Amino acid sequence: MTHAVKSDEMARMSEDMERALAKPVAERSWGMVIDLLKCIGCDACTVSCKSENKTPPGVSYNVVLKKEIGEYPNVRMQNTPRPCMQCANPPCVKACPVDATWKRPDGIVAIDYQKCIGCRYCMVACPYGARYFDFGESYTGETGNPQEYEDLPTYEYMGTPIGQRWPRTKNGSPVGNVRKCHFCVHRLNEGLLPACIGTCVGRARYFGDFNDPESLVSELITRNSSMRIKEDLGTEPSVHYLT
Amino acid sequence: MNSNKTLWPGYWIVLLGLATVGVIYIVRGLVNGMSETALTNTVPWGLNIALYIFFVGLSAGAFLLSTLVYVFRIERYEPAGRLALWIALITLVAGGAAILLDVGHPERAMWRLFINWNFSSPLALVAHVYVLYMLIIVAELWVVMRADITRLADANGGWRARTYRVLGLGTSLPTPRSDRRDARILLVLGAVGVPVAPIVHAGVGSIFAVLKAQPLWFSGLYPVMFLVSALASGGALLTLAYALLGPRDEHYRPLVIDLAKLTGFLLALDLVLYGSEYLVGIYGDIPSHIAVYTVIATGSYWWVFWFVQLLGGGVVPLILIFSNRSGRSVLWLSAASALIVIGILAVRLNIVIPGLTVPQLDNLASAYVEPRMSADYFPNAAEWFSNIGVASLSLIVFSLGYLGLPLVRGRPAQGVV
Repeated sequence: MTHAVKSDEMARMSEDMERALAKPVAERSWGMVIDLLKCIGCDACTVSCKSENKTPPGVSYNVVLKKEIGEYPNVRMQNTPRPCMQCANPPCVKACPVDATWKRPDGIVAIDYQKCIGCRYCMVACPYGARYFDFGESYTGETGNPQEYEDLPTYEYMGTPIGQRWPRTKNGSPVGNVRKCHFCVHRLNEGLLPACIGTCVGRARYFGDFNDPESLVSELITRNSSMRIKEDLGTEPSVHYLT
Repeated sequence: MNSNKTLWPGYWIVLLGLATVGVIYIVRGLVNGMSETALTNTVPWGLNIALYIFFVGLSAGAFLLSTLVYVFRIERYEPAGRLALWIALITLVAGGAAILLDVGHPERAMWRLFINWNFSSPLALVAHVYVLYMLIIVAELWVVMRADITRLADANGGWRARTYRVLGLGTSLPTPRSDRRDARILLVLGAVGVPVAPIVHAGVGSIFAVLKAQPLWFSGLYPVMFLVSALASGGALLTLAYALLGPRDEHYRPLVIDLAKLTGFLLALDLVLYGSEYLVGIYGDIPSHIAVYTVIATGSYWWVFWFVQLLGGGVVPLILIFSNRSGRSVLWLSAASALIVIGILAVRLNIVIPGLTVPQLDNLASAYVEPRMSADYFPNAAEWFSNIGVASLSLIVFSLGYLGLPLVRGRPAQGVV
């Protein structure tokens, strides 16, 4: 059984984004739908996320869980991409002692890189393991041929606060901070879909505004069977999975 | 051991050696950041956090025992009162150092914790009561020692007299009126401390307890278990300290036995609470819970649970404290106390680490394989040595206090106590 989508998803999602961005921020409710029947576990989304956000070693906002179900010859792989759930009731936000992480009006759970003290309480509070500590390591730093891209400022939270950039320094934020998926909010600000959405080989990932009943994501979860991970905990994730 | 002799040179040499090595690693950690540790993104909390809760527990336990003297006026424990307060202060600062060295931005933590308030965060609450609690201990210590410090300033000369005068903040020799006033102030301070100290340590327990993501911790019993473990470990440390350092007068043996028995009861209560927690969890048979208990009881460090925590830190000390022969021997009671302190360190390690080695989602550990994502964690040399540094620096300050401050009857030698 497949989940058929009329017309090209990317075009549809781009139109949904335009409509959403025309609304005031507080009226949007960003979310993701991931079609588990289409995911082939290629990890292209994981790679594109790492490339887009220049995450250092140890940090990968998106990962793909891979589970073998059944026994040969009646066996299949269950692949589950796991970004940050951007919960409506986030345990991480409650836990932070310095108010460094908060839920934006548009649904994204963001981190203030100036406030975070790196205590990692939010990390142990997250039921999805979706938050990562930046240990300040680099991929090419000690190879004798350090690559320039690693030290370039990240696009994340550019201009928050105004004019702020986040170049990679030895101990300056985001080193020593906790980081996580933010639905590529820097791309959303430019009208672009998150990196993982466009890169998905199987067109298994969808993004949009759940406050808009006409959006593709709203349509997908009303017309198909879907679930969310650890729903019984009451975190109200914004990432739905089609099953 | 003659408690009037200065602590022998070997002790200082070893201590200063350890402190030097420790300080080197502490500085390296501050300069190079958290990459010096073996922590990972699956196990982000490790040795330092376990030591923080261990030290704060010792502090809260020792402090609450001091309230038996200064608030509840139980005369039996009076000779150990000041030592209890001094232990409470030193261990509290040690705990604070351990945790400050474990955050990504210690320079921010020191002020942002007190400016950026998130009322829903137990960690924020604990940071605030921690400071209040520290102020209470410092104030109590000063008030309780003040009279003797002024006498010491009077009875000494040179730099010693000057130091004591500074410590005494220039106050004058005690009178019966000032003694009564001091006792009243102590009562008030101690009384404020009676709710504050449990809030500190049950608060620390609630930092863990409120996290629904962690099956091992998410329990209403956790704040209570933390408090009782604190009392047991603080009592054990106080018993050991008094056995080693207390004056060999007519109070000595009865007091050591009293403190040891009190500690024993607290330990027994602690074991009952843990037993309840573990056995109920195991019976429930929920996979995520069982996974953690399996790590604790049968994982790579199974022996820490069975031998250090249960046997060495539980069964053996209880037998030593409550049997007739060993229960009357200061030597055996000291051994029992040392075992309890070590056992509760194992308890703290087994609270923090095992739960985190079980990733939040199935197959999360294999989804992205990189050293800093690993579910395997054992503290590395940098972590051990920087904490040995904190402990030895604390012990140095503790020893200096023992030598110079009127903490136990008969010390320091020159002066009326």
